[in-house]
Amino acid sequence: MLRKGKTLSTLLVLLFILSLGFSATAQEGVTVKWFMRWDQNRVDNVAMPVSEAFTDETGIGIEFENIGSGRDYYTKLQTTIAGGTPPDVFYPATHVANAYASKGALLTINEFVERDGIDLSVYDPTILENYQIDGALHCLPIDHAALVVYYNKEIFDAAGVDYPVDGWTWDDFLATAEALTLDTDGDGVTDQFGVDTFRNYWPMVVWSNTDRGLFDDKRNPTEFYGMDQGVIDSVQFVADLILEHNVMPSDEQRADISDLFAAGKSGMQVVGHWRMQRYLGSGFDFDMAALPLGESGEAVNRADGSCFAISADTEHPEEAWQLVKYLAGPGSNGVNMLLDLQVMTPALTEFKSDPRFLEPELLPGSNKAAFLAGAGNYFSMYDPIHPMYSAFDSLWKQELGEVWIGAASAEEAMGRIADEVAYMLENIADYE
Amino acid sequence: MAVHVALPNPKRKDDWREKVAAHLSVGAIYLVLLLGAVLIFFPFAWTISTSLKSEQQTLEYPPTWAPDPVQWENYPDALTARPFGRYYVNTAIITVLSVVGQVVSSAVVAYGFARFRFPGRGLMFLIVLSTLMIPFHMLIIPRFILFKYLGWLDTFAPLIIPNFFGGAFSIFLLRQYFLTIPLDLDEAAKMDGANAFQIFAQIILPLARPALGAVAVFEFVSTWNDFLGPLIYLSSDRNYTVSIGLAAFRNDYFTAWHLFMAASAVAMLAPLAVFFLAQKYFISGVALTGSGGSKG
Repeated sequence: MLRKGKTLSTLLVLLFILSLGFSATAQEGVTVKWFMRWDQNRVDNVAMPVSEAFTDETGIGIEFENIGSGRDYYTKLQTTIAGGTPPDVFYPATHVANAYASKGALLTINEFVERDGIDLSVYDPTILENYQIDGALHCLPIDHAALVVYYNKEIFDAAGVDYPVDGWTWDDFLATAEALTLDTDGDGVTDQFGVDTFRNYWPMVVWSNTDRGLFDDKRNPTEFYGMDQGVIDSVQFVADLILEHNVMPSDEQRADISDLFAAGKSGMQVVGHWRMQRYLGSGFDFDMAALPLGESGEAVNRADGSCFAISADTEHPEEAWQLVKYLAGPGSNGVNMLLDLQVMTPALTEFKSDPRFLEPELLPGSNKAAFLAGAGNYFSMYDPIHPMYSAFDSLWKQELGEVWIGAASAEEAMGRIADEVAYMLENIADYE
Repeated sequence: MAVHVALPNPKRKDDWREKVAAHLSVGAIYLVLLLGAVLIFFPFAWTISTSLKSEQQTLEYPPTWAPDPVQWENYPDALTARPFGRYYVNTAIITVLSVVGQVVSSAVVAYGFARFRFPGRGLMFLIVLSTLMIPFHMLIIPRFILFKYLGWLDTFAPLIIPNFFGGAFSIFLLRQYFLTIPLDLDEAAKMDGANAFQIFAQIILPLARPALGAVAVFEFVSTWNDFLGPLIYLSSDRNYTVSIGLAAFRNDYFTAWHLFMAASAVAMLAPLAVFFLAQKYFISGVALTGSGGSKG
């Protein structure tokens, strides 16, 4: 009896000791923690070689960690920041960078920029401006999420529809989408859609029609334009693509297929550079067209993207800055390698005209310049760039959810959103 | 019984009807169970089917059931895309130690609540139970800070050690079960000179095997599938678990469904095996505690 009791307690003690044994080993020398949310392709082909080259050149070690899903990435990032052990260098999207900066979690890099004589004019000014608050620069941008219309040439040819041309309008877009939407077997169910869903990019249609964002000031919003006829019409236009014209699939019709365009079941897809790798592997001939023009007649595009930021709590600001500069500074090695992968639209103007970007070997004769359309008219998809954005984001997703299924008109939904936003703007200090 | 047989049976017709009714009701039960089984089996079948498709086929619209061609190489491709062998070993270490910790510590605490009278017992039990109501997300940051000060970040310790301090649900489940074990047994053992610990180890624990099995399986499955814990506490690839490895097939823009499903199917093997091996204990444990316990 006694022996059994002893065995049990010995086992317990042993287990404790055993579990404690899995402790971290102490780091030697300066190592910078670099935390990313890239796909495996970019991890293998950019992050790894860049890390090695950086360590070879500078002697600074890199401890790399990657979590591919944005939601999980930010959960962990936020926990480590709140817990006081943030990574030295990380990769926030525009609105997240701004939220962190407003809470003092990002290191201001102006001093480093001045000391190293970096000419900031090499970045697209609207893009750079996204990361500057009252003159303080919080990170170096790497890209912007420019949108284009990808189109499947084979589907266009089969339907006898002309390829999109520069300067096409939303009316042209709708006519094209209608011509591409087919019920091939005549069973009353659409088998091929004109365009895969892009409803969450509705602000882009608003910009093209009104040539302005959703708020009077993206940094310090005081007025919401939601009740402007241009905004309401833009939202209704997107909803009608689903509900009235049936050229864009509803959730039900998509059946959780992640990309109808890649599946060869939609003639067009409105999305950014990041999907290109996938389309390259899908085996059909495709090209890109600039976003259609709206009422304003001005080409527009997205300014928001991601940047490399340094934690305000870093113990190695100098080394972290060296890494950020290496990744996203002028002539940077990181962006250089990314260009070859065809995964992003660079924020550095020098790379926008780079033949590797404009005339890639992978896509001979393609219209890569479509990604550059709208320069000078860049807007942020996360508008306003203010900590209140996350509340606004859940609000419009909920209300417009009704519009996409036809349970509310754009006017009704925008009315409700405008009421809520008015309250948010009155109490905007609560979000800061 | 004999009397009943000897008597003439005026209700033979009704008897027949009863039989049919009984058969029908059994049939109905089977039908419901069968439908339930199909419903439960559906996602599993989809996993297997997708795991054998080509990448292009996973995108097909409308989705198809049968993989064509059958791509067995998805399995080796998925399992070598990341060091899944290491992830498996890590997950197994964390899971086995967590299960041991959870079962042993919860049983000790549950025994205390079930068998000892002490001031504040009811209140303490209430406090233990109330920890069930705290949402995990509220605990993330305080726990992270605690583990940081203990120097446990990027080790398995935060995922294992807390299990050695009991779990409210396990304590509750075991206590309810212990309460159903007659006190007479304890008293008899006491008469034979057994102390409290001996009673626990030699009377209570062997009798509570179904409940212990249930706690072990619950803990096994939840630890094996845990994503948030490993995500937050582990940061080196060498320490990652299977669930973190699986996440590598997904990002915001793209999921390699065929590889994700192949790796998921393999990841499911361990919990499935444990469930089949332990299902006798598991099911009776859940059934007994669920129905208020059984005497003896």
